[in-house]
Amino acid sequence: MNGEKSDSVAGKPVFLTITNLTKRYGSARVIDDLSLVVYRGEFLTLLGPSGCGKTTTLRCVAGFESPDEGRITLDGVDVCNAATGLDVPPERRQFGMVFQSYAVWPHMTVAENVAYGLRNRGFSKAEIADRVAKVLHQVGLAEMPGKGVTQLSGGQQQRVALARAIVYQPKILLFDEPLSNLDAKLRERMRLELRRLQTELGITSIYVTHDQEEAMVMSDRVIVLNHGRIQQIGAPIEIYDRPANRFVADFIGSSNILGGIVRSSSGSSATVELDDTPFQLACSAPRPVRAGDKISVCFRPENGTLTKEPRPDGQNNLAVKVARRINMGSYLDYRMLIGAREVCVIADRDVDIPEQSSAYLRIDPARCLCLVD
Amino acid sequence: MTLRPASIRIEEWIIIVVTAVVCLLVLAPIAVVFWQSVQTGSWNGPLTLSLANYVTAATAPRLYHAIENTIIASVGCTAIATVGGVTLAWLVARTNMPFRRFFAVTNPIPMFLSPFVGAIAWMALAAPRAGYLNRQLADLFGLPADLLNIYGLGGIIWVQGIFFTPLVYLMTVGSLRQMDPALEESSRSCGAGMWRTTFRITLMLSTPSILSGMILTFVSSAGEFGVPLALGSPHGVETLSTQIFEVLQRENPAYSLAAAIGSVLLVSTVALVVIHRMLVSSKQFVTITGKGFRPRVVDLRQWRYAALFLNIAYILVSVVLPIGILAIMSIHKVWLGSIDVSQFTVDNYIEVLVNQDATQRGILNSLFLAIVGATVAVAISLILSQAIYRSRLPGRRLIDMVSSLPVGIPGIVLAMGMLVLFIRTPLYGTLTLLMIAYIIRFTPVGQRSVAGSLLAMSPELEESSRACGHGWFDTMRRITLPLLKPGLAAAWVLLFTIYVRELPISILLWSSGNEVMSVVLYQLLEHATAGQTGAYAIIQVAIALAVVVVFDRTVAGERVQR
Repeated sequence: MNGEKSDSVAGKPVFLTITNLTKRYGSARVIDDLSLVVYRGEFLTLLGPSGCGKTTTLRCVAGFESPDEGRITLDGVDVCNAATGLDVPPERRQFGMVFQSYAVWPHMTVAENVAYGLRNRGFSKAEIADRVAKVLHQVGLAEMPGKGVTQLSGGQQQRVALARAIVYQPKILLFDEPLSNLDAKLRERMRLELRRLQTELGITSIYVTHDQEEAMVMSDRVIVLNHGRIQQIGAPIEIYDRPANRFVADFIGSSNILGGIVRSSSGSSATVELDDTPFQLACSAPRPVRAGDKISVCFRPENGTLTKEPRPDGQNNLAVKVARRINMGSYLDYRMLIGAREVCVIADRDVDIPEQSSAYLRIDPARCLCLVD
Repeated sequence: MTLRPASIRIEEWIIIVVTAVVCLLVLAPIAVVFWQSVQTGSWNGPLTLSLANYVTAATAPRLYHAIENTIIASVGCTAIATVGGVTLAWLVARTNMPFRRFFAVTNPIPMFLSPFVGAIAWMALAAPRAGYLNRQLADLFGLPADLLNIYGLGGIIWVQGIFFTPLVYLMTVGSLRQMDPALEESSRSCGAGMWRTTFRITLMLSTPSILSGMILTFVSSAGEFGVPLALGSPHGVETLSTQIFEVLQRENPAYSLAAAIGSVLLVSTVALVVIHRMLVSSKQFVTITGKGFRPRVVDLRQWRYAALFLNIAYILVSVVLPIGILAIMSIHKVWLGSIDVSQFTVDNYIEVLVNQDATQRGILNSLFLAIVGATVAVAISLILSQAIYRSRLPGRRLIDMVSSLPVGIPGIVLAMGMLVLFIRTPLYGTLTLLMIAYIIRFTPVGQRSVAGSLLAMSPELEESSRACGHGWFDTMRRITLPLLKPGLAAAWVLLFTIYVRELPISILLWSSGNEVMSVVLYQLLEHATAGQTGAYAIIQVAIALAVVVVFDRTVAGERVQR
């Protein structure tokens, strides 16, 4: 749980605060004493496996779920406070929401869907038409206001849903896995478009997803959740490069994870003996560890270098035998055993080491992390 | 914008109040019947607590026979409905039987007709000597004129069986249509033939649906009143429900004894409903995914025509012959069991539509109850469905359970409970009380239909309206109601046809001036000519079918527009 604030948002005022939120279903705690802040104008992603509490958290912000404990403050006003029984109904919280199922209304046209949120806010007919046209243009649906939404493709329906959510200029935008029903190509395009639109409009956004790539590409900050608890908060690159614990390392990107025992440590570095091997590795430790601790050593496939001959500097150089070499087209994927665990290292095409031959694996000590579970 | 605290929102209050009232109205009559059953003494004298009524019920030979008859009738009726329903469902959904699309429309029709009217029609068809079929068989083939005898247990089983067949049919058709064809294809690829696959895979996978239909049929049959009233009682064959009626019609109504009989019936049927719900919720079979499949069609080859004959026979005995004989009867001045052109007349219709006050009132009252009652019931079903599937109320499962109980409450028992509850209130003897009883008795029918369409609709459609700043009422009016319209209309039509023909509740709770159609029909059957009875029955059938047809046209029309 490092880094309450990251550099990219420093100085921005806090816009939404969640304090000590807990939600139980029966005896299971879906959200477990969760606190976080969202800064004005930022794009924050809640990332985690299914059942981690990310959607429930979002639905508490929206008012579709009532937390058992905790308090939510939006733009300086309490919208929900379990201690006092305050629970503002969703329609008075002034947010826009885009759902996984698009949830566009099949009995209305594109324009009617979008105009729906303006109807009850005292706008004149002309003003409504004006705004609808403008927002349809923004999402790239300028040509089809009169179409029935059921005639549209999935991607177009999701654009209608987006237009509907932003047309009344909500205080905050909530996204509940909005791209997961789209096919891969469209998903990649929509990510960038969504982000561009959010930056243009400057609307504070909370985005829920289980897709780490999506989180990496779109977010200012990412919060990784598991079992209703925050595992790490940080900018995407921070989370990728310096996962705070074994769960995050495992969940984000692909990691080689090996068990080991700390032999010695000083400050943010440690020497670790890997289980079932004679190897000792120099690692960096984001959180302090002590000699004798059982920990996990994590490194990414791109942080290992494979050579035929041992390198002169000698640090973190492991003698290994290549078990498999897989041609991935633009790069090579080498597999080898360290102790009982298979690890994976990727290499350029010109690194040519045949299967079953000996080689030396060097792991960059700065990129080799010693993590508590 | 002011943000005021709202720990319980207005819509939640509405939901809580409606749910509480419905649950109370379901449970109170049951409680009252049980309470009454353990009391002895005259109904306006002092009462003492005892089990004497149960002893009387168990030792009186008539009551013993009533229990026996009820069980035999229900088992027989369930057997006919299951064999018929499953066969027809399989033929329509899974074979290349000719005209199967046509039969898909016609096979459910008997569900919209009254079994009581069916019993009257079958009396005209198969009464010994006087019945039309008996006369024809005697005239044409020289067979004895009492070959067919609709009176007694056999007749009760036959009429209930053919009229409850659609219950099993509809459940089975639904599951057969939604089955993943890969399940059967993998059986064929394992080397199992068409018949083996049909019996070991297709029908086995439909077992939960078939079982649901069977239990529903058994329970409805055990509580059925009109058919045994017409075919059994006049010939000394009583069931539990006709016994309750008989005991209550005595000079000194034996409420406690009736309550004891009712309790026995109630406990058995409610127990079945509860067992059924537990079976259904255990969800052993998850073949029904809700995805649209194009099911595999079995080629029947030369058996196609045997299948066609079978289905035609079903429509003949359940729809064409009953309606036909009633129509013919209704245009005869004097009906003697065979068609006589010299007797043709429209006087019977003029008599029941214009000349007699009671018959007129019956029609108007039934229409009022059916139109207003169905509307209120659909609204209540919607609120209950919201409470069970969309709200955050505690005890949602309990509400679900309680609101499904009335399936197991026989109409005559519910009516007795209402009678005891309301006899000293101004509501007694009013149409309002009848309507309340109708709504309570058939809550699960509307509820299941409305809940089905609500569950098919993603909650996100409603939530996105709330996100857009529209409150619960606005969302209900502009999103939920328009999207649920077809489901709500279907529920309304089903309830309308049920209310228009309702007999067992009405026969205990009606009063002079508040007659309803089925009660008047019973009186005509007892006291008037066959022609007038036929005419009145035809009017009741026509009202129900007209509403069904209009609904079908409207929905079909809307589908084309989309």
